[in-house]
Amino acid sequence: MNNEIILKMIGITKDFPGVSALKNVDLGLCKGEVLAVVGENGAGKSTLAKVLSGVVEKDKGEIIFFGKRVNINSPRTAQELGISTIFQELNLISTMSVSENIYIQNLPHDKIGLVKFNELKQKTKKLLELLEVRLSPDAEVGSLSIAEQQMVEILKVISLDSKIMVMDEPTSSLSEKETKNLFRLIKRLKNEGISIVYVSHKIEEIFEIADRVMVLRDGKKISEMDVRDTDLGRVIKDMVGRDIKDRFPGRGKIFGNIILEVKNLTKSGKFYDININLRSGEILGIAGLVGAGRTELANAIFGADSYDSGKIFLNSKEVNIKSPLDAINFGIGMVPEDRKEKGLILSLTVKANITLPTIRELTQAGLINFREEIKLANDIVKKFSIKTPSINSPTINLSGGNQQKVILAKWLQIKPKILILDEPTRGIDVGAKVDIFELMRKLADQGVGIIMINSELPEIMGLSDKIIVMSSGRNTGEFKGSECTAEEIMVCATKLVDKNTV
Amino acid sequence: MTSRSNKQNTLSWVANFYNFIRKKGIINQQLGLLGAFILLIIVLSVLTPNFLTISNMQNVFRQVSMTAIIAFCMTLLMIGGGVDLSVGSVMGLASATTVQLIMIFHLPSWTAIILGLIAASIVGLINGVLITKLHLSALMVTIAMLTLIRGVVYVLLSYIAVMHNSEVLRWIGTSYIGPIPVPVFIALIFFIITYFVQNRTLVGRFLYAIGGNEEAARLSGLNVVKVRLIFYVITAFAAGVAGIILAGRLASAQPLAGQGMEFDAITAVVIGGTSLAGGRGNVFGTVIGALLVGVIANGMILLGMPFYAQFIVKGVIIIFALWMDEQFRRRFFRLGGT
Repeated sequence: MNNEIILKMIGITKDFPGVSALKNVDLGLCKGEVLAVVGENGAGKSTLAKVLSGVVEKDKGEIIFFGKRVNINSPRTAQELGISTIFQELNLISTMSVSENIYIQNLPHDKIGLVKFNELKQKTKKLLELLEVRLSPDAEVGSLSIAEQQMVEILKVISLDSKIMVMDEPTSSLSEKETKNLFRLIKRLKNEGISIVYVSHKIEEIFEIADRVMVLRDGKKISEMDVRDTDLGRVIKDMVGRDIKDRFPGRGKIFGNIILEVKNLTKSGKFYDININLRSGEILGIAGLVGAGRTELANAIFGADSYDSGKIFLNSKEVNIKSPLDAINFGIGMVPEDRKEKGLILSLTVKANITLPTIRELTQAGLINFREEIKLANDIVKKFSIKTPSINSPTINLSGGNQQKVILAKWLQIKPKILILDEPTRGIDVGAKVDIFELMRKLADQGVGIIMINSELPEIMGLSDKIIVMSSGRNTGEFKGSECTAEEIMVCATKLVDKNTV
Repeated sequence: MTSRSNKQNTLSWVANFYNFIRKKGIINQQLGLLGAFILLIIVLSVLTPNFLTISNMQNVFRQVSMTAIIAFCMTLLMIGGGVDLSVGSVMGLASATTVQLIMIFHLPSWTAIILGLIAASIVGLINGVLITKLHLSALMVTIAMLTLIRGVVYVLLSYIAVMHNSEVLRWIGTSYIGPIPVPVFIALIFFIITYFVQNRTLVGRFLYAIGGNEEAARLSGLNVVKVRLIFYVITAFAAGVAGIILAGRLASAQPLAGQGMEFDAITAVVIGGTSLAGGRGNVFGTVIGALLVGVIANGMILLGMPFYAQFIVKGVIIIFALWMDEQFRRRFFRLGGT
């Protein structure tokens, strides 16, 4: 690793209405190194990445790139300088193919301007093989899963000629295997002298891939050190400002009757012959690779999607759940995977989102009781420590962790007997995660049955009372939460995956 | 005043308005609109002495009422993410149906009116079913219906204007309740009801949710199909009411009755701050939007501007309204976050 400093960000300050996102932050980046930027949600790390990539303009400060002062005021400027970015939100064209998306900015063409599709396909194939990604170059991006789309986004950026790559939560949707591939690629990029700014919540990853780590908290830089000179505990402490003793609350001790039974549930193409028993007070974790059919199963139980055959029993009575409203009336709630797209109505206020599923109870003769609504919303914001300027702020302005809290809070209002959580901790910082885990355990202790889909093995193993593993739509394993290893789960998760296709 | 200082006046007004909008936030948009409206009235009353007379004002309000009635219901529909371009033709349908029922079948006026409104509502039901249950594009379906229903109107009237002698219709179109013209009274009732629905009712809240994020609303247990369907019927019903009023004013059913009304209504709604994309909007803004459109049209006539100029100006206003919609969308959904 070269010690030549190629990028210096000095005194970066950025304010948004109501919130000061960055306060006088300094950053130094050497050639060929991986600098990790970590912090809780709201710490400012995404904003810092956006300033560097030109999406957001800084209010104060300087950026010095290869010794020259630069003004990065648009993504184009950043790219022309050689700074490319992989964003958390995907910027793909869903109607076009994988290869077209990857090379969208420099499609191979002849002098007239006709695209050379064969060359495009070959280039894409080579790139896919390099990263060991099993995708077809001609696949329509819109039909891919989120993880696959994220891979395409990564490949798109890698195909550009960059000196600095900014990666904002690149592995949030990737499996362990795909993550390892990405790290292998990052090491290769390092050898070619490319520097990487790696923004992530997953602190364990930092120790695998980064050379130096910088911790932000509340918009300020707290520390910056060599990865070799620090450890997980120290980093978390800097991030959160306090010691986090136990990441997971204890497991459930007493379980009640079986409240949910799923028998032979099948949806052609998505999942087959699934059997589940959920007891009151139990946290059931569903593990598996992305694409295993877990979300589809959850949607079927919640009535959001249909299923072809099988039966669902609630408290031993067979039920027919045809819509989310049916599910809600039966006492089932679901926190969906994609919180911005499906969990929240961003244009509405925090108050309106929280009260949405239970608004009928605040209504008499078709008229909403505003005072009750405001009281309820305020109570909830306080109870869940949701950080928001006011209950009338649009939810779009909240950080990811707080948005998730709003969604959780909203579902808890229906007093569910069964709560389905699909990737509840994706994109959420350590501090908020602990809050959510404790909340889940508390709910379970009150008798709620919880189904949690989670792709982070440590979390699923640490939290679940029972774990079932799905692979290619089938149930391939069942374990007690306290008696299993990561290897056993992974074996079951990869059991039925066809080697030749994705 | 010379025409050059007219132009300067207008330009500086536009520039001030632009700056005002840019600086203030979305909450102040309606105040800004109100301000612009008041300014417009002042300007026009200076330019033509006939503008601020009682009879002209009553005329303007009568004309605007029909647009307003449709626009209020259209506001709610658009907040929920829907749109209906067939309202002009539905107006004609209600008008033609009612008059023909009176003239050919000799039905009593009120019966004919009710049947005319039912006819209009049925069109709304068809629109709603095609759009919400079959998931066809709202724009395309209602444009198709616009054409189809206009054809039906021609058939009903055998291509000619049909006069009627209904006292009831004439009363609705031209008479007064106290000092207030009947159409204005009806518009007022529609305003109160739609404002109420928008702010205080469950279904109003549902509209904002569905327009804001249809999938998230569905996953929160809302019946998206039912809510949208209801408002397609309501909007068509409103168009029917406007058609009845028109039949009263013109003492006849015209084959072209209501033509172009869809654009007046949508312009009023969009200028008033409701987004075409749904999830945002306010009936109060629509009032000002409708008045603005009506006053500008009236002003142009009083100023003796040629007929075609009205179309040009209306077109410019629609583009201006779309631009404002985009500006507010941008300000509202700022790029932010950490």
